[in-house]
Amino acid sequence: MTTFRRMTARRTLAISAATLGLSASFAGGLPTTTVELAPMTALDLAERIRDGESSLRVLDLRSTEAFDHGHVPTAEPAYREDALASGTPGAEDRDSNHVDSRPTEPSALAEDATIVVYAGDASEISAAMLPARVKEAHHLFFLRGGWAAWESDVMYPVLPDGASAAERADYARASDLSRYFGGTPRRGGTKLPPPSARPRGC
Amino acid sequence: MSGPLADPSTVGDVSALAIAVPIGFAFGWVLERAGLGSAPKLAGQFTLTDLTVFKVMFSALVTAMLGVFWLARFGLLDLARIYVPETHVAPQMVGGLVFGIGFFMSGLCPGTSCVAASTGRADGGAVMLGLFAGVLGAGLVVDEWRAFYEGTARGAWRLPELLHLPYGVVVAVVTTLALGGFAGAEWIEKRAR
Repeated sequence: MTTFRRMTARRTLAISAATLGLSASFAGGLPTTTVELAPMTALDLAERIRDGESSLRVLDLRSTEAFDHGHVPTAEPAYREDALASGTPGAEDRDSNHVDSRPTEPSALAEDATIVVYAGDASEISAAMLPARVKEAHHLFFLRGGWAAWESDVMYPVLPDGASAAERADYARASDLSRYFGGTPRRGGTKLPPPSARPRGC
Repeated sequence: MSGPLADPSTVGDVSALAIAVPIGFAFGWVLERAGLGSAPKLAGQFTLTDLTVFKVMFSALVTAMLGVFWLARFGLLDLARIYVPETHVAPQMVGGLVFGIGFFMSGLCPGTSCVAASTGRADGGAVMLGLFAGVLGAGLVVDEWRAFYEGTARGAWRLPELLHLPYGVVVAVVTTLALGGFAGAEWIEKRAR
């Protein structure tokens, strides 16, 4: 009886898998939620911020806690748990205990605004993470490597031992920016792996 | 870690980590109950006498694939938020070869070595020690091999992109291969007996 039940269960699972698998080919396309975002390196973003580019807006897609712990200078949070603190229009009319964890719309976006969004690391950013008005922006970029890249490339760049001429030139550029933003450039020691070289798990 | 639901405000970082803990427990429990904490059972994969590893792992793969596809199809899951490791063809082929040799020699892989060690098996503990020693050693010399380590990159390379087929068709093909593989595995095991 047990063997019979096992065989019946096995057969049921196989039939279910076959049904779900074969019907997938007729299920049509998957909802497209990605938005075309051009990449921007942390150093390029740092230069634009330092140069005071007026049309630049930087949007942080991480949690409130992560944002408060540290963020790219001039960045605005996409999510705020305390609607009053975000300064969104009408927030002062809300109950002081009101908690709103939905995306807040950034203050008015100029049509020619350059929007740069970033998450915590090199994870892909999808349209679901973006406030509605940001998705319609004409000049939309993502920070390659996210906050992790800002920290490693801008705040704490490292010139490895035996660096090539090209690496020394990159370091010179990075260390200038690092000092501007209060970071600590470092010479020597092991170079940290770039944010894109994620550990490959088992 | 991200909870790749379509509405990211549903699962925050802390909640995603909290969910990951019971998932991890369930994963280890299922592996142990399937017998994958036993080196002889795992080694049987290579001698074609016991294909439990193939059946368990491929079952998990098909279950996850069908779940991900259909949840994404109904808009509950955002595929773009699921991290896909990048493909580096040459170093991963070399790593796979080293992994396979170690798997055959020890009868355990990294995951099942943890399962074996957790049930008190000394071989599991030994494999774990070797695993961490290998990881440490590789980390110490990775700079020397940086060009090879990051070479032949193909980005997040998925089967639909590789085969130029729609996502749903790839799901159907993989499911068919899996079911055929299970039937084949049962036949091979019967012959071995």
